[in-house]
Amino acid sequence: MSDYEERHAVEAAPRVQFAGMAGDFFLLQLGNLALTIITLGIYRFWGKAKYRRYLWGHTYLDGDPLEYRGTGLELFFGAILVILLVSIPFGVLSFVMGALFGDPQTGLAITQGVLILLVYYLIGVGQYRSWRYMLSRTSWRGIRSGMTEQGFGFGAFNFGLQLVQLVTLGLATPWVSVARWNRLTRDVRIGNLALRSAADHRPLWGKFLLVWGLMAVPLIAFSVWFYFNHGAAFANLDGTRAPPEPTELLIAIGVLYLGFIVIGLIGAALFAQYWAAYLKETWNNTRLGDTMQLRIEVETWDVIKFYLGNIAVTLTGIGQILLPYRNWGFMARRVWIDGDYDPRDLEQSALEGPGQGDGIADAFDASGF
Amino acid sequence: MPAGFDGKLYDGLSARAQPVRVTPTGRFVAVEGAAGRESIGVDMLRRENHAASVTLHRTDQPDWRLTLRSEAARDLSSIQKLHAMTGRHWRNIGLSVAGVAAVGALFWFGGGAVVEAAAPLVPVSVTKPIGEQYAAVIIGEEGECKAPAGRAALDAMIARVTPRDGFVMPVRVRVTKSKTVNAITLPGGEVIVFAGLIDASQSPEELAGVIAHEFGHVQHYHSNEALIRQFGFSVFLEGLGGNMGGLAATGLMLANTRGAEREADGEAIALMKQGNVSPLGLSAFFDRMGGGSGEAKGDAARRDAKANADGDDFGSLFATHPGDASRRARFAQAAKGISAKPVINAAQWQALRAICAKRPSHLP
Repeated sequence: MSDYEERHAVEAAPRVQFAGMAGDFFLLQLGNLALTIITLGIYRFWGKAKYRRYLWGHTYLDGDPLEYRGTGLELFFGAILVILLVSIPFGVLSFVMGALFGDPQTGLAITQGVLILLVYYLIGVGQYRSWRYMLSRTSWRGIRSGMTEQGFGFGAFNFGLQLVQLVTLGLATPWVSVARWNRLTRDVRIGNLALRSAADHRPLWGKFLLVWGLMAVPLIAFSVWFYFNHGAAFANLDGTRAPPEPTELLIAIGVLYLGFIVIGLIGAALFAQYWAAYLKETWNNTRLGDTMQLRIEVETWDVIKFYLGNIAVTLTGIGQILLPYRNWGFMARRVWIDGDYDPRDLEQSALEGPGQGDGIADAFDASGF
Repeated sequence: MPAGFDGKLYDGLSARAQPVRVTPTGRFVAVEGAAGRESIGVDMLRRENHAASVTLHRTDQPDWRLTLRSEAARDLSSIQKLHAMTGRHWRNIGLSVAGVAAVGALFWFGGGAVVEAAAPLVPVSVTKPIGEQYAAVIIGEEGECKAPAGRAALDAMIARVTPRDGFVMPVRVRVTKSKTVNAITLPGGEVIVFAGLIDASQSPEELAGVIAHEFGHVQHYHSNEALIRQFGFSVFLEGLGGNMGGLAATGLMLANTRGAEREADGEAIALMKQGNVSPLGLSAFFDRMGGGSGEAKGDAARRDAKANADGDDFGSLFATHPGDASRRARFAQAAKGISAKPVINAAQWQALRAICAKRPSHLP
């Protein structure tokens, strides 16, 4: 190796650029939609692989695109597998459990209980495997990514987190979501490099409690106001008094909806502030290998615009096909990698790549893009 | 010497870029760098075009990448595109669609026989709780009618259309206060007669005929068939996503319940023959419900039944039934071979009609 190469081996960390075009993506998705309809829904697996290739392929790191290496057939088999391994056993279980207990009410209660526990466990497994699948199908300059585990351990971990959420009525959200991020990123490998996250939940509490506190005030105020101004419309629905005028009832229902929409929007704006803080806390405290550091540039206003845009495209109906683009693009445009690295030290992943090992079982797939 | 291009080679082992000189020469692409020179067959390469670059892949080394500036694209056009929808891709998609369609068709056509064969095998211990849950929901809304005299009359009527060799599963007939004109058979032998049906019946024979029809569903395990069908289909197609599952399930239900209704009618005729009950009552009933202006009424009753009872799928009197005219004719035809005797007497009929009253109507 020459002296020149030796001296210049260390480079700045790759710069992330997203060059996707919403119009191109929309056309691509229109084609997918048409084929999906023609094939009675079966094509959507190939359509998904196709639009992911578009999103990945328009995300450049130092000029070289990310590659999505998953296939439609893989996703199709994944769906069949989920039917065989999850849907059918669940159905049979709910069938048989009911029969095991003489009293149908008890049987139903126990069955539902067991199924709910299982579902709560599988939510975590599914989330992990979705990360695992996508990372294993993602490569850059031929270097693959992956997750080190199968996700069953994470399922149990996540089950505990959800239990905490349940007990605290969602008040533990900052702690829970940071714990989930730290645990998930711990297993991520980019080539041979590990992600290491040391995100802290403490800086998030202020913004999170602000959401709760500021939401409670308008909610209570509106409820009280509504009770005294429109409560009468509902008071005599029990039949003890004369039924309300239809217009009176309609106005009351309209006011109720309007109130909740306005409060919901206020809540979303407040939550956007928390969400931006959460993204910064988690990404900005995640290291890649020993020399690189992830960073996200996102402000509350970005999140609000993102929410509003999503609502707008969802309301148009057909615009929903843009959602994967929006979800991916939102992140891909804001993520940076700081620091430097020696490309020779970014080696191939020891984890299994596409077409290897349990490729089919990997396709347990559920994500925003 | 042909023109060459500068490229960056990634060997799949690390992210290190190796500067190479790439020269396409017909059926081969020569790659020359510090590590030496290699000629790679065009058929072993795949091409992926990007905005400003071209990436070459090797079929024998999945992690090997060679990137060139886009001006090289023209000279590399003989290399097959990586994600071109080749015949193989379309074949995969075609096979997947065909596979799903085949499984669907299997259910639809051959499935009938499989489902019919499997239905008697589902133990009552499984179906009973399901039926009881449905029944609880349906009766729960309005409450059960069980005035003692009316109940006794109903039992007398039931005895007349009960199979001589007994039911294939324990049967329980209950009356619910709902004014819907309908009767349904739920899994596990749970038969529910809506008070509206009793009100709409002008003779005991009409009601007895409907009950015999419901017993036909019981004897042929139709509710078990519905359970299997619904379960299998919804799991299969809803698992693949989209709304095809619900659509297919409804279609299947329509296609298959028609046959089931005919079967239940046949059984009903046999039961009425055995119990010397005139099928003319049922014939008259369909006449009123189906004919002329009654059509609208029948439709309304159908909608009503749909709204009122989720148990529709298990075989109710109206849901997805064959044309009322042909049924009427069938029952009228069957009446010829039956020496009918009254099902219950006038006093019993009066008591039965008052089964939902708080106290029997003939008492002050």
